[in-house]
Amino acid sequence: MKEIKVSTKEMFRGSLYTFYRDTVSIDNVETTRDVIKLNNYLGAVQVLCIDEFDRVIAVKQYRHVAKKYVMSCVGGYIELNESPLDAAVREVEEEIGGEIIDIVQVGCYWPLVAYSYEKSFHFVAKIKCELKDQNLDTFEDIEVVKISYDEFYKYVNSEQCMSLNSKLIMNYYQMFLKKLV
Amino acid sequence: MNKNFKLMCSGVIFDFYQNEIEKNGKKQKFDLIKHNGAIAVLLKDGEELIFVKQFRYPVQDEVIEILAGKIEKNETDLKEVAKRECLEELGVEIKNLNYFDTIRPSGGVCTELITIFTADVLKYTDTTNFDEFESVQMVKMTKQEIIERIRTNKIVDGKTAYAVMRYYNEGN
Repeated sequence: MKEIKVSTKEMFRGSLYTFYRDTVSIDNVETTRDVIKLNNYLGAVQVLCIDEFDRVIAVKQYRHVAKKYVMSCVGGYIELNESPLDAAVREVEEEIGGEIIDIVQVGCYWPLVAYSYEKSFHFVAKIKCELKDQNLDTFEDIEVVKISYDEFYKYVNSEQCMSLNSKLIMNYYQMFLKKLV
Repeated sequence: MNKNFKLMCSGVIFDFYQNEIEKNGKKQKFDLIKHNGAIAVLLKDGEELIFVKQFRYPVQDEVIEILAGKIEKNETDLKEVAKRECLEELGVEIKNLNYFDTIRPSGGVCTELITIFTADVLKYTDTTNFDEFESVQMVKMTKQEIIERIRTNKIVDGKTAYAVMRYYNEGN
């Protein structure tokens, strides 16, 4: 049943997200839906970077939510006046200093369809082996990790890695290698 | 949770927390969305997979998903939650319920964890018990049908695309 927005109320505005309580109409009956929306949100990108030696170039950073350092694919938010592809190229340059040889979009997913407007565009990029310096913000602390494809595939599908985006992108690429997609 | 995070606002399905971190003389606030977690079930009936189709408000469209449900605050036995959700949402009694994986859909700020199981249909019953304003439709698909939808990016729900792709990548 279609849910039509009647009104919206800002419950709390955070530094990154805002929490809204929308009144919605379902078959002419009103109820509420709690949703979170990233401020100035244009979407996010995730990039599986594979170098000329077929190694995955991943990133390792501390995640407050997981309370530990986790390894994942390169990723970040789309900025104003950027296309998802522009953002993917910029994030590869900033996070790992990677120079792209070829890049292709492989999907677009909603990680939390029930209550979040978050949407993630997925790419696979072939990059040069030699990496330049990273270009990070003050609060970014990102380690570049070079890892074999098989090891990274095993890692993302293990209990150690819970990142849905990394799991999605690696399993899509694995299906591609197996000629299933 | 990091004790420095303070509750800023409570919601129906999540609570909003925030803390402040200082680095090199600069201060920055970080958001944290606390959610109690959910279960999801990759449900099989012979060679077919069973999905639910429902309208999702943020997407503003009907979305095909594997069956999923929120874990209530007093619930600790996730297999029981999975069995209950299969019965309540689809009227399906299940067998061979096995752990598949745990995922964090939005790793940066949201604490939600989804525990995914696989299960087989034992029998279909007439028992469904939807929450108010919940309306779900059962959709069955063959391997070929669901893979074609993934290939053409028609499966927009992340947990669903992941569970299906990994299931088939493992030789099923």
